[in-house]
Amino acid sequence: MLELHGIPVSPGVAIGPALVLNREGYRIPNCQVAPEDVDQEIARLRRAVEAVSATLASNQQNTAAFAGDSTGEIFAAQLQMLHDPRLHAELQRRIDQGKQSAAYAVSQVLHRYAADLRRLDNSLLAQRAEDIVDIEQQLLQQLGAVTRRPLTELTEPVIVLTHNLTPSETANLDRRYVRGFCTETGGPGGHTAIVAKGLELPAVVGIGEFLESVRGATRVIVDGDRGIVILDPDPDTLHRYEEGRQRQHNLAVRLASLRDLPAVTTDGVAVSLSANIEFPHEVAACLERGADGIGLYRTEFLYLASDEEPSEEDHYRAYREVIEAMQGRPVIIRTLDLGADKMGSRPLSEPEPNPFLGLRSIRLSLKTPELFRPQLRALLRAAMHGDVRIMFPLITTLSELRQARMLVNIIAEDLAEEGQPHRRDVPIGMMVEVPAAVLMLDRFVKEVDFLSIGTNDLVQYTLAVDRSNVSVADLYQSSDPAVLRLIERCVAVADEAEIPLCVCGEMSTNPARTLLLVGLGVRNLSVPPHALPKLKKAIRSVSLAQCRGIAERAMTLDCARDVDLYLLERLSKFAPELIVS
Amino acid sequence: MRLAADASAALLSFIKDSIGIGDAFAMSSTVITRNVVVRNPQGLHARPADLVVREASRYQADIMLEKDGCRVDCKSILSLLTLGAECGTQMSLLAEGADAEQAVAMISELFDNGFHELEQAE
Repeated sequence: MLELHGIPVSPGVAIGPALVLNREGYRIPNCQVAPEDVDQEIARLRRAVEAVSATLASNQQNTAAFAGDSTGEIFAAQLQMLHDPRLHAELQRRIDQGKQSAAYAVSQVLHRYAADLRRLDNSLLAQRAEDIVDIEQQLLQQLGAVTRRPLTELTEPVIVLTHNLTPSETANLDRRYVRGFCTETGGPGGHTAIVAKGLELPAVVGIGEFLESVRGATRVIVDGDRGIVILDPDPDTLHRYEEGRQRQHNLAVRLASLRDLPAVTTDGVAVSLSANIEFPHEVAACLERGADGIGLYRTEFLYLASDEEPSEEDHYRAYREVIEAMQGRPVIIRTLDLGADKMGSRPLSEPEPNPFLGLRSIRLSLKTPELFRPQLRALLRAAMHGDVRIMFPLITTLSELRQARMLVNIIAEDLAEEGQPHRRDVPIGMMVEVPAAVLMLDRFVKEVDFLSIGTNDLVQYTLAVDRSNVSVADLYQSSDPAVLRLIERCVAVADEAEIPLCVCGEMSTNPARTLLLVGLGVRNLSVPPHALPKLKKAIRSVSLAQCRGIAERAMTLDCARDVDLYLLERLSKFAPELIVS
Repeated sequence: MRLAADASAALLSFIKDSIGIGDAFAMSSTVITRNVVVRNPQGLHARPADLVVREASRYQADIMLEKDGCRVDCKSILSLLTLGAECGTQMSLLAEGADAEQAVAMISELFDNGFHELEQAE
């Protein structure tokens, strides 16, 4: 049994067989052989080499016959590599003395040769590196250690252990089989984490290097609540986790009964609970949990989950699907929030030294009309089908907001001229996620229809912490008193101007913090669908007076840790059911 | 380049240790040495390396190429490629063993002829 610690980014516990992928995304074969099996392993390697050799020789003949001798020579070089005496000396030594499996030795040695060639900065030789990787793959296949695309050819439930998963790789995980994942890199609030939450896959990231030490682990527990990964758990641990999972399941069943009840405090104050989504298919999960609407539809995932740039029609179809499925409930669609850590297949900006302070989000959209226009056109057209509201992300100055609004007006005029059915008077709001916007909020409220606090970025910009940087991830604390003061101010300004304010960041996912936010005067929350039942339970367990008392006390505390401990203690008093270990 | 050379050097000394050559090779007094230059425009890429390995494999002698203090086995195509020798690169060809002299003569001829790629280039 081996216990690893990382950053919990998507809650829940998953237990299952491990699928270990190396940096390049290949399955890492089980690594050790027993001393008495060494000769057999070397014989296995020899047979694999012979089989690959036969394939290469026949490739060489066929290609030479078809495309001439010089093309066939590519395979001649590969054959020469396959029979390289130095290579075999090292493979033999690794198996014989290192007790490594043939597959593991092959993957280690050939990878190193390929890496050496790539480093030479010579395009001809870099291509030969691909030949080496090709030989490696053929050998591994002969040794039964690899499938070409391990994540797309799953046939049984697995837990994925890998170096890194991009948001689009995460989005494309086969949810029939992938039960959870853990990665060496990544931080809280990163977009992979957001997608994992959307897919309700337990996940732990930022574990640091561990894949090389995973010696063919068979069973894994991913504890997405605590940030713990356990390889080859002992029977006691396994039993404990299975019991915990059962308790979680029972809680979920009990909370499900709240679905059709309103989120009101014991003294009758209603809180609107909406859901954050990345993909249209998540609407089903929102409705199942009784969401009052979609508080944040992150449209950039149209880009991130696909290799092709979405067209106006792609946008329109996705929006219409969400709007119609929500059957008249409000849907707040956020315009593209690309850049920094969210890049599609085509780089949209030059590499930047400080991407989070660079050309991202609304800044990128305003500078890239060919990106922004199709989206706005699709939005105004899709708005015909329900209660749609448009929200601009990362607004920092009034002039950005005005530019964006002007563009919406221009596009509405274009659509009118073309005779395209569309809606002109779509409510327009902004995300409040930069401290500058909070400071200027009394001006902004005169020019928007609603506000939504995006705590992820607000925390990052207030505390000057890059949320995707593992080395400072522990400084990223949503409950920091500085952040709470900014939220308090936003509520005061919004109330004074009588415009709706929502909190839609990951911060509000935690039911303990819900008590605080309600006490601070927040009446609209938007969270990933899976968090809705717990939030509703928390709200229905307290009175507004109690929440106000909690907020008052929390605002006197000095640091995030004190705030969170205090809130947890309060939650365990008012809604002990929600504290499930 | 530097990194690759270091890596290859480390790899080479490691291989020498594991196979038990190296020291004897370095101390031997019957080492035949000749300077060679890569003349073909594309450098010591896969096809020329393949030719060198084929030729070298015909001899009993240990045959090495040395570039910037980094020695590799001429019978190993993977090691030759990791030299990354481009057109114009100067290297030492070293051989030790009964047929060392002939090996050096034949292999250096391959270099001198630009691995028969010079005609194609023109």
